[in-house]
Amino acid sequence: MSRELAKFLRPQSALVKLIQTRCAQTAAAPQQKRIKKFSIYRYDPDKPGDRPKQQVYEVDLNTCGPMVLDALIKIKDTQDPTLTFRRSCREGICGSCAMNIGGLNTLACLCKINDNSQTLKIYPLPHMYVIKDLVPDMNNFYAQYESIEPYLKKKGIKEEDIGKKSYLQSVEDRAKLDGLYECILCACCSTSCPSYWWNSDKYLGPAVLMQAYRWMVDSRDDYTDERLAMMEDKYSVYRCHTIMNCTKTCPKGLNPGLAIGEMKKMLALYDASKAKEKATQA
Amino acid sequence: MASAALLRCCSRGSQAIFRSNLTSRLVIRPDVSSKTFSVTPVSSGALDYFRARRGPFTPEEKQGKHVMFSSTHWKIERVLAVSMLGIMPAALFVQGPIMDFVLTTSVFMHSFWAFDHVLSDYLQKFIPFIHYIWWAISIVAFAGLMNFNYNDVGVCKAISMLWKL
Repeated sequence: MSRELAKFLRPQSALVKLIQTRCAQTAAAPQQKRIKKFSIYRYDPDKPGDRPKQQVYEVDLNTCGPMVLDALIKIKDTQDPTLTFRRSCREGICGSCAMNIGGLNTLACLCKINDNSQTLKIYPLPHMYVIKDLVPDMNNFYAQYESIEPYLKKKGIKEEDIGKKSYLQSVEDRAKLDGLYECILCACCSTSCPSYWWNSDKYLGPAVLMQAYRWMVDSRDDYTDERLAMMEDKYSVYRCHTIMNCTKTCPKGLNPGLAIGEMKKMLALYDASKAKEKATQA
Repeated sequence: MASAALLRCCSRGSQAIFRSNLTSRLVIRPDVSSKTFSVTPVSSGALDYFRARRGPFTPEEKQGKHVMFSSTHWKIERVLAVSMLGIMPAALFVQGPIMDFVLTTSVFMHSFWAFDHVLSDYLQKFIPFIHYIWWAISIVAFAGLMNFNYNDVGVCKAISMLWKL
């Protein structure tokens, strides 16, 4: 043990000492501050007469993590504790921190701060009622999701049979769900769709439609025709005009536009009157 | 369904949810809606009619009284659009009263349905009867076009006359 410790008492060369001193100086020297300005939407409905406005905060990027969410948390911790936003997993899987950053809807925890000299504008998701600052009201979105019945429905299964056997699925059938099941319901796509902006009460929006398609295409589900029959009106699906903002903005890289196109294909090819009969019988 | 009640709250905005939830928990909340900015000082009954109708809508309300399935209507629209890809060049080579009729009807129906969709997207929530207005205008226009085809030179001849100008 003392033999190993002895190496610390070995005489060091002058060159080694010079290098060590120089490195220590660099580390100790004050770094150039990289200040980035964030212009963030603020609105407090509890304050009477308050109007929405932009507030500018400055953050030194050397003391902050790389993602926009890191900057928001730093602002909330050090500068303004009243800044309100949703966040949870900080790794892009929960969908809480969805907001409009630099004009695009993404997750704040996955959006790297661009350290150019421009001010970064942060808004809540477009055309949603705002509860406070960057927090939108997601209840309409969730209610629409609930309306498509996003769960497995089988025919002829009695209550006591549930949970006894697993429902088998071939590898090819399971592959059909890839690109559909990964949706985290962050609402980035739906709130980027102009059709959803103008008709969010009747048009379901790309997120919900992609999940509707996910259940239609699941081989274990027996209610495909009834699910298609649920879409038989002017507004639920057919307000999609293939604008494709949804695919462009999805932070998980999914393709809701394609799913809606496939669903329109299914709607064109299925037997509508038989499906309506089945749906009304149920 | 239960979600219909939830959708009703959502469409009116978060204020409706908060007001209903919190008053039930005996929290006194200032009535924010009275302090929101409004252009009209007093909303008259007439102006109220043109406010956007924002949900919720039952599936029956959305389906309307149509005789055709929406998917069938969609199929017909796309078939017509694709057929126009053939009719337009054919009109350069074959003219006559039949081509007049085919060309007029296909262009007319395509534009009629397309403009109907535009009205559904932007105006129907403000003016629910706008579709009837568009139907009326279209019937008059179609009657005029048929008269033009029957009693006048016809669209094929008219287009060639235009080009000769």
